Amino acid sequence: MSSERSVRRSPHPDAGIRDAVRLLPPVLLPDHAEVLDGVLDEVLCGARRRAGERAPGDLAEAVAALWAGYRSLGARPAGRSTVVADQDPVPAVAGTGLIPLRETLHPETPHPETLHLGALDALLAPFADGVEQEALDTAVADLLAGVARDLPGTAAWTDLGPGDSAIARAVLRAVPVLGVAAPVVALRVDAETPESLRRAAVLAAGALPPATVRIHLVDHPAVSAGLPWPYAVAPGHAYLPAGGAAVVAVLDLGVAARRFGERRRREVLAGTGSGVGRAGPDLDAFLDEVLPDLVAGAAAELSLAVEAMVDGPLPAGAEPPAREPDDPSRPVTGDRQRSVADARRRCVAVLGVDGVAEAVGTVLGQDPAGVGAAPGSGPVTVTGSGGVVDCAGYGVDAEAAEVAALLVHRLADLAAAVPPVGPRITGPPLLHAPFGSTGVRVPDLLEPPPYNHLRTLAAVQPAFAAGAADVLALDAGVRENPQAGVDVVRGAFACGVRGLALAVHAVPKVRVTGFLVRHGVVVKPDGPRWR
Amino acid sequence: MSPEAGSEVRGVGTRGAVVGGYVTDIDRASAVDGPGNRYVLFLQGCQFDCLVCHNSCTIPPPPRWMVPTSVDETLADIRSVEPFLSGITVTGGEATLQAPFVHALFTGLRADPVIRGLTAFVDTNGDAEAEVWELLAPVTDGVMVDLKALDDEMHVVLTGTSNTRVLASITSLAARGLLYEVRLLLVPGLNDSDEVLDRTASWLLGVDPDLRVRINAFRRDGVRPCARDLLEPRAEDLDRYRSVLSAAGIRQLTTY
Repeated sequence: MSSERSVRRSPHPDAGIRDAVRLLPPVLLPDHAEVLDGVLDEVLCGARRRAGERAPGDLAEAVAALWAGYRSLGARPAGRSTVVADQDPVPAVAGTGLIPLRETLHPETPHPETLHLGALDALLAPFADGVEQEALDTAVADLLAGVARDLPGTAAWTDLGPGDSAIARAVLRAVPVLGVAAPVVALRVDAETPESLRRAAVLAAGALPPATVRIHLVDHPAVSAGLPWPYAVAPGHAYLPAGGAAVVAVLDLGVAARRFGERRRREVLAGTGSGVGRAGPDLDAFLDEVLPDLVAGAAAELSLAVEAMVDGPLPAGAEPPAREPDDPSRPVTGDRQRSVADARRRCVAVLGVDGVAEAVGTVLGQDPAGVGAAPGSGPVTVTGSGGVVDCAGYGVDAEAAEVAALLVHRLADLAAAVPPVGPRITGPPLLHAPFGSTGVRVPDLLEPPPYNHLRTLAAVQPAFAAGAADVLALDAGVRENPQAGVDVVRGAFACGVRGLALAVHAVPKVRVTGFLVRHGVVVKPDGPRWR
Repeated sequence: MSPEAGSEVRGVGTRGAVVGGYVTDIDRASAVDGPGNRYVLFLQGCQFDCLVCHNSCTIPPPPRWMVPTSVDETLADIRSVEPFLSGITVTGGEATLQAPFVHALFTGLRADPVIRGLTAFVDTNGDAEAEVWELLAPVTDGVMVDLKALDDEMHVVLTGTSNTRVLASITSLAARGLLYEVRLLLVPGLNDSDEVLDRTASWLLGVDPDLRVRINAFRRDGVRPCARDLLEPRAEDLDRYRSVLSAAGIRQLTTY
């Protein structure tokens, strides 16, 4: 554990391009199979054993078992996060993958710890038959309130769908009641997901305070098609292996681009460069010279992180057998063994990408910290992951959008060519956008037209195989007309967007003298801002 | 009746082919103009002169400099955002004052293989002759009607016009199965007493027992100076409106 902390806190010694790689807390303990077993045991097996080898018999017992398990997970050392796989509900305890993850995907999150509750609808479905909806609502709300109360400061996440269920609806109904104490809910949708369930998700988002992000929608077929394992939605709208885990590094493209720009200027002054401000040469050089180095540096950092977590690299084929938690001398057998082995194969490396919008502005030869001017608007200040940056043109400048897509897809191609960065890491690093596809949040009153925003995202999101923390701000009218939100999300998915977090605008829209304007145009906005 | 028939009825006569609509504004993503996410066209010109209108610049007829927007141009724009939509809504100003354009637009919508699945709604003050609804009914999926006041005297105070045609439109549209919603713009002290609300609800339920009703709370934003001293409904006022209308039997009730 201490090695993980040291990895997270140690400054990078290099002042060069590797500074652009900001190592985040690893979210994986790839060699801790015993922890896996322990967690499995605590949440489900343990409850069963304490109950005299009896599986939970009804909803109340199942809720109590989960609650006890979540509490025990929350009592683990700081920084532990957990994903419960959803492929096997409670009765098939032996096959339920439950893997301890590490902390959150990015440090700016207000919650230092994350507890993934698993797919609650799948976990509790076997106990919901014949139970009145009101009783389900109460049981689910009590469970979620208990998690919030017993684990203060912990961000709870759960996945729902794509199928309909009374449990899923109970979870969504509990969200507005719990408010900011509610878990983050990712509803995975496909063609079979009923409109009414989607509307329930939009209503839940609409019932929360403005700009509060608790509800995520995921295009389940599109995301599943791009991943070789079942996924859970983790902080930062990250698609991580359900029952698996990940090690993460974040690459700041904006910093890299600024340094690249400064270098080009020095070259021009020295008479050795081709100039700044000419998009072609600078863009090509950035793509061909800078990005490969960045990805190589990030891969090296990921390898170091994995090495820091394990006791050195394991020789090939030297996998130790998993042990039963209550009898370490006894290897696990049968389904349980397959489950553990399968979980170990689902440890991935994630390469977070930040600062895309800033990088685009730089390589297009605009203001070093800019992203290009929105027509008629001039520079606009927005909040990016690195603080306040000048940014405009996002979502309205076709060239900027094209270059952003080019950068991100090139990064994805480069990452795809990287071999596994450590023992038990499956496949090459997957791209993730922990601060959104462009790395900026545009505040109320300054957003591009919503469909431009979504089409801009659609061009880049497919490159982020591990997801992107993009937010769709909905008009407050969805509180009375949730189908409007459903329609917009459906259109977004049809255009290629794969996942979105939903929130309601902090500033409502009103009609004044025939024109639709944000309320802030006539009343100074005084609400929360997007992060 | 075809839009080219040259009728003298207001809003229907065109003296020739439809050349376009006088469009003041477009909202391509509205959650408050009918079911689902809608593409909304705001047309210029309204025969009412509402005291509490927050779109008062849309009241005058189209100015000479205003260039009409063609049906084809509008349809192309709708096609570009079709994946995000449930339908389109034409409002204003007063949409029925340009009924031939609305008819041509809705007809074009139904003929277009890309966007024919979108629903076509009209948002109106209801002050239209029966012939207007005859023209639009075959190509319209739903109509939302504003009822500023059930009492004609108060309606004149609020709009400058009698509500005779408004009430007739509501009745006629309900009979055709086209009345999607009636919207009550409520202004404290003018048309929001319990007695008025109860009587309005009774009348509406007589038209359609399952009628969908939306409370539009008066807002001062954008109104002309003479209306800026009017009160906006408070939260407790809105609660009372909902309570009285629900008690009277309105089952489908929303608030904006």
